[in-house]
Amino acid sequence: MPAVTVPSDEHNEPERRPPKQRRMPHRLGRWMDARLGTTKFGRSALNKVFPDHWSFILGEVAMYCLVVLILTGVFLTFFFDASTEEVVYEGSYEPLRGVHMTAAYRSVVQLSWDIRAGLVMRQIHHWAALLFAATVVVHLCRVFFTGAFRRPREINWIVGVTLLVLVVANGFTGYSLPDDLLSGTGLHIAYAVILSIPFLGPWMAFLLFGGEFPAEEIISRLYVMHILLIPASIMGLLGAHLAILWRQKHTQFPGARRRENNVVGSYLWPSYAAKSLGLFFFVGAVLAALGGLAQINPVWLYGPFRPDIVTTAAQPDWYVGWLEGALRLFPAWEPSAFGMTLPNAFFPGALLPGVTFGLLYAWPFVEARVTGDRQEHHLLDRARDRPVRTAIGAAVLSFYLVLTLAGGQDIIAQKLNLSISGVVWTLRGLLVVLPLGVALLTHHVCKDLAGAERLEHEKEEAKRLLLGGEGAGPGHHAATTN
Amino acid sequence: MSEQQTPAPSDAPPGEPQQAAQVERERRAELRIAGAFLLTALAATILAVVYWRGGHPQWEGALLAMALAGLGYGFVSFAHHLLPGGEVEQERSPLGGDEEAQEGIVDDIERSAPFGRRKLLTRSLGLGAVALAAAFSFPIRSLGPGPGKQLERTPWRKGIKVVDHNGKAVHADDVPVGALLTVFPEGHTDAADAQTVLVRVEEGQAKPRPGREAWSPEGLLAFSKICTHAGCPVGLYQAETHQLLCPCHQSAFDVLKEAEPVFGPAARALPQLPLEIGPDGLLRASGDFEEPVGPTYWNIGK
Amino acid sequence: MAALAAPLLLAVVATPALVHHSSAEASARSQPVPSGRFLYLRDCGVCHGERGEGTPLGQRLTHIGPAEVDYTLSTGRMPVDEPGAERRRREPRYSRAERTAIVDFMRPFIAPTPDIPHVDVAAGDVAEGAELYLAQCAACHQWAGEGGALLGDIESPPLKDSTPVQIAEAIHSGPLNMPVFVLSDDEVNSIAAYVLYLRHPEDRGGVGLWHFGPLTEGAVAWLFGLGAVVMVCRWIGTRE
Repeated sequence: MPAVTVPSDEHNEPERRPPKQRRMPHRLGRWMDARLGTTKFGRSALNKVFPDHWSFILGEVAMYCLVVLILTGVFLTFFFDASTEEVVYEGSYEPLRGVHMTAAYRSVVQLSWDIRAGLVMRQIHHWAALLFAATVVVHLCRVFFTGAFRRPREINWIVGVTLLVLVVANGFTGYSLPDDLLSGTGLHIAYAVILSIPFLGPWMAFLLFGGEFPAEEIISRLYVMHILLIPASIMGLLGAHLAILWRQKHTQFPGARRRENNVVGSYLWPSYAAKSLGLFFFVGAVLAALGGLAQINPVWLYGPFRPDIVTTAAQPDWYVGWLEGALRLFPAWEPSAFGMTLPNAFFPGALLPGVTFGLLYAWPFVEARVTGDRQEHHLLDRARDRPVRTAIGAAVLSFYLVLTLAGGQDIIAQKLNLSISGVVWTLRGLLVVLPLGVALLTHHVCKDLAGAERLEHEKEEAKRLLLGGEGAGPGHHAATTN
Repeated sequence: MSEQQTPAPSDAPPGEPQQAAQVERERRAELRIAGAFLLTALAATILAVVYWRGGHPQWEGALLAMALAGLGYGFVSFAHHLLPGGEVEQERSPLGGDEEAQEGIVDDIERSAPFGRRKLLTRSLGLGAVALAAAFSFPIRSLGPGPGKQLERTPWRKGIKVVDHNGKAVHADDVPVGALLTVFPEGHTDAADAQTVLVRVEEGQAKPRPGREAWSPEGLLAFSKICTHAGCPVGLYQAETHQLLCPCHQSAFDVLKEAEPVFGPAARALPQLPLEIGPDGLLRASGDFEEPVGPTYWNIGK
Repeated sequence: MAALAAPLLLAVVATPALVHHSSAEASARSQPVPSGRFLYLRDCGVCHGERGEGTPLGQRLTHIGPAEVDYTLSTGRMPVDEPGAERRRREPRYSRAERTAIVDFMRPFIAPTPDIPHVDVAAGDVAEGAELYLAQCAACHQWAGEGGALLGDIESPPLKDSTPVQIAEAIHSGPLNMPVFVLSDDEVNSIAAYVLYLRHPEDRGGVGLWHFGPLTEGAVAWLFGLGAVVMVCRWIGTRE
């Protein structure tokens, strides 16, 4: 099947052709072109080729979650009251009537019970946040395991990791806004973690919260962060992420006709655009179904935050679960010397995320240094062909999975009828043993798969040689190992 | 550009019967897609009615999902069945490496060289920029008070009455053995750093260190309720094992041994509040906590 | 002690049928209620002593009140099948009349208070109950009454099956590891009203996801949300 080669999107071909019928879009197009010179770019955009593979659209899903978040979030801002002023609830949810609470909490309960379509909007927003973070993580895994971060895409990897940090940060600030019992408890832990930073901690905590916990300013400050600072940063960086992608063109898996110097796929217009638009509606449909049918964050049951009360089974949203789990599993170690103390919460709460994201940022450069591979790559690795990278990635994922489970260790203990101490020690052990086991197993499986494939390939080649045929096809992928 | 349009998936020119089958397939696809779009219209109409009739979260979510799924199915099916598909190939233009342009841009930048040569100018500008940046950073200080002594002190003082959350003074007889009560200093029931758990054990069960025997009259023990690990209220009390448990990270403290941590990540004991029983039988503090309450910070030991 | 225990043990061994099969209220209805003394000596006295003075097998009972006795019997936590067994909630062994008989027999040698309370749920205020429940109970029993894990092999039980009287008895007497809460009758009525509400809270948002909170929400987001999205992606990515 011969491919039709189209010129690259930067082509500048002085092509003249009699004008088509003078329909409205054409007239508008000519009008715009005369003023902005849009036709050239427009054509190259419509003819941009995108490789087709289902895993390449995970990042797109994340982007559409963001769109849903913005649409629903704007609606929520009209009803949320970021104030810690004390009020008495008089709305339609009977078990809270007459209870003292902050205006912030009251506005969320009112939104959920007394504003038409308020609850479904709020729930879609929250589900979208959970799915947003999940798809960003899965997208990052796809990029990692296929080596899509290699030259020339290191900058976009850095932008992407920053986006992940911002997504988690915006999720946490959003979770904290309703001022319910769980969000207040989470904020107190965040305060403790900031306080634990050596030398700067107390000042940082007091300046961020506006005083000793629970200071009154924190909700309105979180609100500004949640709806302005962080979303604006996310949108700016997402723009950069897409612009870089556009400039560098998408990577592709090796295969027939797919080479380092071409892109094989479908045109942006109309095939890819239609599918992408369809994807957007499906993402919206999944979130609407969840938002309408599955209850999330029932703050009216959690009750309003009061600093002296707490509920068991207190957990954060899943994307902070690994930090919560780390705080739970870290042993009771608090070294001190010369009148200075390294607080226990500092290691799992501040150092761990620092190291986690530091290593993520550094990975493309570390790998290039270790392998010595500084070539430009547009063809992706298959995970099995890079057993060491794949093994490291799988091990790291299993490490964070154990931490995330530890974030709900009390519920695990209760539901499985185990003792908490038993669960804690098991998870502590798993945290060390599981990543090692996973790494060895993954490495082994990758080698096996690649080996089996090589064998198959050699057999075929031998058969072809025996039959007097020509060598392997040009597109056939040669297994590589590192 | 039309001559570069995508080839049909099949290379061979379709014969008559094949062409007919293709037309039939496309007609059926068209019907399915139209059905999906009509589903959207129907679901959206019902959604509007549901909203107009007062709204219902489950119906709203389900109908919105149906409407959107109809659109999604329609668009994707459209792309799959009715739009020109097939693979096209596009070359990748090199991203950089144009030596001439690289030389040129260096020349362009160098046009500013006269400024760089004047050391007085660059240095004074550097100083000005640093000073301005420092001046801009000062308003950060307006965000809140400094920690000062606030982390070390709570409103508890000698002689201050022990009250519950509603401000009612606590009588020693109000607290039976095995009881748990959250208490505050009188007049400070909203002081988060003063929250204290009050429990009673059998007299003589607790093992206070020398000098603290008088802190727990009649087996009444009071400890800061803020976990020394990450600040959650230590709200769980296991009366049989005499342990206070924090539900956030499962740190446990032994009430009989001055609330020393016995399990979990907490490394410091919960500070103990010295208590006394007045002649009126009311509970009073006989001082503030001796150690800072709440989570650890770097200079807590000073 | 041994002299006392021996005939009692004999009694237990000799009446296995009674010990193991007299649980249902139905069977109790058809038979005359055995005396409290008989039931106590047969099922409790072996471990707790003839007059609640305690033995190496079971704790002293003289300091606890009727409320705690009634609570442990009505929740099936006592009697246990063997000394030292876990005291978890299960089908109670005695009918209401049998319980009353046992408690009445024990009254002379146990503490007079806290007595079995009278609870009037209808007089309770659900909103006051919610506030009190969250402040006093949620730390152990969880915001939706699902219970939670404690240290050691102990759980704070879910409250879905608790009756108003059991709730009040537990609050007043602090059975097992539960502390005692000093609350007025009105406050207890309100808490009981809210705990009953929590059996079937108004889940306006849809399926309640077992009221475990963010843990299950995260699992649902990954399994259902991401699962559905990945299926859609794979469908979109297929080539016709």
